[in-house]
Amino acid sequence: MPDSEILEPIPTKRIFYLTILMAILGVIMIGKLVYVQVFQNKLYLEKANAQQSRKFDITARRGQIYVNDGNGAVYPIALNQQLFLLAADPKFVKDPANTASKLSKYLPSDEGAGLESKLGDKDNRYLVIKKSLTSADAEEIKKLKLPGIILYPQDGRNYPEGELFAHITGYVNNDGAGQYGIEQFLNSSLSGKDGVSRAITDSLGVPITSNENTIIRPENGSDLVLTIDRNIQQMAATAIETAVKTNQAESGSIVVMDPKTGAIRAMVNYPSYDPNNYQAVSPDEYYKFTNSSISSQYEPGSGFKVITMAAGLDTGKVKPDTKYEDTGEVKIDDRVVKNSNDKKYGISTMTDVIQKSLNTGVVFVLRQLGTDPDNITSKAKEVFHDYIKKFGFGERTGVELAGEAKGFVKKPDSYNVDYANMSFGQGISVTNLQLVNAVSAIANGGTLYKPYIVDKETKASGEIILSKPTVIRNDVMSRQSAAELAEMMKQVVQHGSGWPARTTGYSIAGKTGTAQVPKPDGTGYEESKNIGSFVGFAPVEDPRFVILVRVNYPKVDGFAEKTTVPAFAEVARQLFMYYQIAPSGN
Amino acid sequence: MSTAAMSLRKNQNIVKNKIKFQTGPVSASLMLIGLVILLGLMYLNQVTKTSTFNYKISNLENKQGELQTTKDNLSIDAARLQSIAEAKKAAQTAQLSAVKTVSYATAR
Repeated sequence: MPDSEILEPIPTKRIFYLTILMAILGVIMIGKLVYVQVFQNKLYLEKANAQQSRKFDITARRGQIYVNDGNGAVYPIALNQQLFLLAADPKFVKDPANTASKLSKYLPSDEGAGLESKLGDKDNRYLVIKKSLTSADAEEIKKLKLPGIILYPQDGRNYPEGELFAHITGYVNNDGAGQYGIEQFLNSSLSGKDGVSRAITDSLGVPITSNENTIIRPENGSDLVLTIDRNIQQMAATAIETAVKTNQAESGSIVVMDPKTGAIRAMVNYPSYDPNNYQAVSPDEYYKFTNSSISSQYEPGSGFKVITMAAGLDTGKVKPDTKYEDTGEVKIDDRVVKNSNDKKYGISTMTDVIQKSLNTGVVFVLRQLGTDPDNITSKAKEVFHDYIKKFGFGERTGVELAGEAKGFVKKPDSYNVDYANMSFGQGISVTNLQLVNAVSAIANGGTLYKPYIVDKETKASGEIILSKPTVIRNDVMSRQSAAELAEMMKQVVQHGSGWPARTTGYSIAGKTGTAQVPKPDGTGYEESKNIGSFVGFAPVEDPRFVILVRVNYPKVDGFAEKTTVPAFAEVARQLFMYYQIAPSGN
Repeated sequence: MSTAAMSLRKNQNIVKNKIKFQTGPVSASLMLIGLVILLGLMYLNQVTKTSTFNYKISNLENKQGELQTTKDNLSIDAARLQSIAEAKKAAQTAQLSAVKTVSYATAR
């Protein structure tokens, strides 16, 4: 055998080093595997999941809102609607001019104008063309097969009655959140709880059917039925629109309440807005969004005299026939309080005070509440303050609507003249709802209810929650003093400023109020502005409704009897027929 | 026992072999493979069935969604047609007039 063919033995050392090297490499590899799979398990698991599976939110179905429609029927005032977001990826738009021309039909003229140039901007990869597109329009656009045009489904809301219930419902914005009204106040009940789905996806991120997919079902929102009656709401809306236009006023409101439960039957403000198209409201008209019946606090004026009289009657300090001498003015410390018409009526009864709306008369009542009938004492202010609180002023009523104001009541340590002013409704601020609720307590014999607007809530599980009237207190005033006050208020309609509401066969009680408007800088009152109001109830012997009408800043001359009482009369007369209340012959 | 019978028994070659079921490594492996294949098929069958049902459910859910959308749209149309604005239009078309006075019958 030649030498060259003899294989030299591999040196043992080399094998040894190779083995060591392989062992080290093995250890490194195992170490790396342990590091990746054990210590970095979470990180890589998340990366893998992100590539292979995706989380999808499942939006819960929003609850719908209904109102009563007479005879036990209900009518929807807020419904769900599938809408679409129209967008474009300009990079893929082949013919911007043609595309813009075809889409312009679905856009307002001012938005359609610059669309062609926007679609021509190839650097922009996402262009929102229109939000809240209806499904009918979306179907038409789909059929056009325009390249680069995309339609994304959106959950939307539809309000079939438009402006009529705008201040009650509010609206749902593009993010799905309730704004104003019930939509905001009860947003969590209405929106429910979103669900979530985790699904394995293909390379394009599209979910594929797999056993590993998990789903947590959404919990849909509750449906609500309100205490509002659609027909009464319409009566009130027509009446307030007429009142505002006739008096060339800036705005107005009507609230109708059931005095035996505190249920609100109608709540309208004029002007209103269309919640289907809330984006159309310009920034200088944002005040239209607020429900002024609960949000706008104002000095009630003479309408508040019934509260002062209630305190006097209930404490037994005065009776309807208690007399005093009206000299046309009364001196409080260094100030003089006069009657609104600058007249003096001589010897007058408490019924005259309400019927003729005498400022001096309610100051007389305020004085009687204390320890010295000739002066406004601390005791008088404390007693009056207690009654104001008992009637619910200075506190939010807790009605299920967003944006409620609580009003303002001066404390008993205020100046005497402040309390004298408060006795005829100045220097105190209230909301329409507070005033109508307080007068409801007079109408029903002394029980203050918590006003409510949600009659029934039906949860997604089928559970039904019925609202029950909530008594805040049943000792606001005695039944007898309430009846005496109602009788005095009846005289306002029979022989006083409420005369336009007189209706043959029906007994109506009420009180007008024409309040001055404080200047924004607090230096007195506006010369040419006033707020007219009339709050009343009927039939006096068995009250079925309380109505408050308020008209802000009328331009025509005249007190509340001209600006508000006709609207009250219009609604009251329709309600007599609607509720089928037969005339009593009084 | 008779002699003939005894002789018969004597001469009879009676060998009764017990049949032994023996498995060697090959047959055991084959059986194991068969079992794995069987279980695999059962698993595949089950997964396919589940996937098919999931697909059906997904389809039905999509359909339910579409029907819900249609229902929503119809509800909106129905509400709009019953709205007060529409009722007013209908009243004008039918030349209806508002009730002005009501006479009440006296109960006896």
